[in-house]
Amino acid sequence: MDYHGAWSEEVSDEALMAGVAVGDERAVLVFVRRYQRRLFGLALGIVGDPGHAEDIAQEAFIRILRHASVYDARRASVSTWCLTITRNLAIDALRLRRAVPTAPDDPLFANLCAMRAAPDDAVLARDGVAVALSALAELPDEQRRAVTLSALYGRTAAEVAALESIPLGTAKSRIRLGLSKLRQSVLPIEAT
Amino acid sequence: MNGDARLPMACQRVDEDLASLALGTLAGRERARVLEHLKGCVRCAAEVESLSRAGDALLALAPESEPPVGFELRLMERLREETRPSIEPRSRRRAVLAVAAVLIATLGFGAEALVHAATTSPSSSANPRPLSARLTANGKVLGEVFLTNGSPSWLSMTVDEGSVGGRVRCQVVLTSGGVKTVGTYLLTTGYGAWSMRVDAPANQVRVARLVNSHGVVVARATLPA
Repeated sequence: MDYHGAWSEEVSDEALMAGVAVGDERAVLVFVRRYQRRLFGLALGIVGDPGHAEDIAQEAFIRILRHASVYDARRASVSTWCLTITRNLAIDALRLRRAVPTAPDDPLFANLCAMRAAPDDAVLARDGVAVALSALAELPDEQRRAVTLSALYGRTAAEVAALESIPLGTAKSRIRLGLSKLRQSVLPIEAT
Repeated sequence: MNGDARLPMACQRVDEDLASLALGTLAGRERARVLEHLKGCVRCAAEVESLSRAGDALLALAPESEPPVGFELRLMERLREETRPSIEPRSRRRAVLAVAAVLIATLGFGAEALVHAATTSPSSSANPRPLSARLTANGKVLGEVFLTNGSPSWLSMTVDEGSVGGRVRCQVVLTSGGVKTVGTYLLTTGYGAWSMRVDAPANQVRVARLVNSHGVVVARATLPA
């Protein structure tokens, strides 16, 4: 297959990943431009410091590009795969640094917790956003906050307990119950 | 706190931590305890996998933010330096990487650790149970150390007692008497957890220890022979 054609903004993630996997520099550039805001934004939401978040996002890109040839589209979408790698790197990095739990300094967090602000059309059109939003909306408020803090902002159960002023066991239960309920909404659709 | 009372007792003990494991936020001893259970429990392993997929689905909502100016340039520079050696195809390595990629996506394991352990230490799969020992100072337990089997091996250390602070070097002492520094870390309020590769076979590691900036050993763990 010839990967040296023009890579455009319209090409699918999977096709782009195939180009990245064979080391096509133009595919890499399009891929980086497509994902840098999301990987950096996710890392920033977890670690809170732009310099630290840049290190993590760069490391995530390095790993994604290094392992592009083993990406398996049957297991996860490209975006999910990339974001998972970034989240894990950010959480691992935080284990060494965060001494005191902090709430996410991000308007998205408040909006997701309150389910009051609809994302703009461009965001809603992205794969999986509408499904994830409606699944989150079905959770009781306290479970939605606990799951959001853990899944999107990398907070541990102990940190959720401190931030919410609740016992550790309660925080664990909210994360566990919330994620279990969310799974019922998300997985049948994700599997199709 | 226990989970669903209909589950076997061993599963109840870990059930409420499965979501945190699936989301990658479970660390240290709790993580090791749950992973140990998963090795022998198909039900809980499947539960973690499906919870991971549910958590991953939420990542579609992750916040976006404009990276600092020059991000792209710095990344491309790093890529030129770092990706070049990994281009040549090696089918066995690719197969192992594929397994690692699946695990990254489902269980939230660290990619580098898995890939490296899987590609360089086949003996570790024959005996995957890690060695463990308590990290102590003056008879007081400060944390715990885990060491995977194989060569090289991987050392995980947790410090959660609170009395040791500042920058510390993590060292291992080998049976030969040699000392290797495997990393330097900052303990801000006496808490930290990290994993690092040890360029020596696990059976040659006798002691893992922390040394402060003055070169004084502030905590040590003696691993079982």
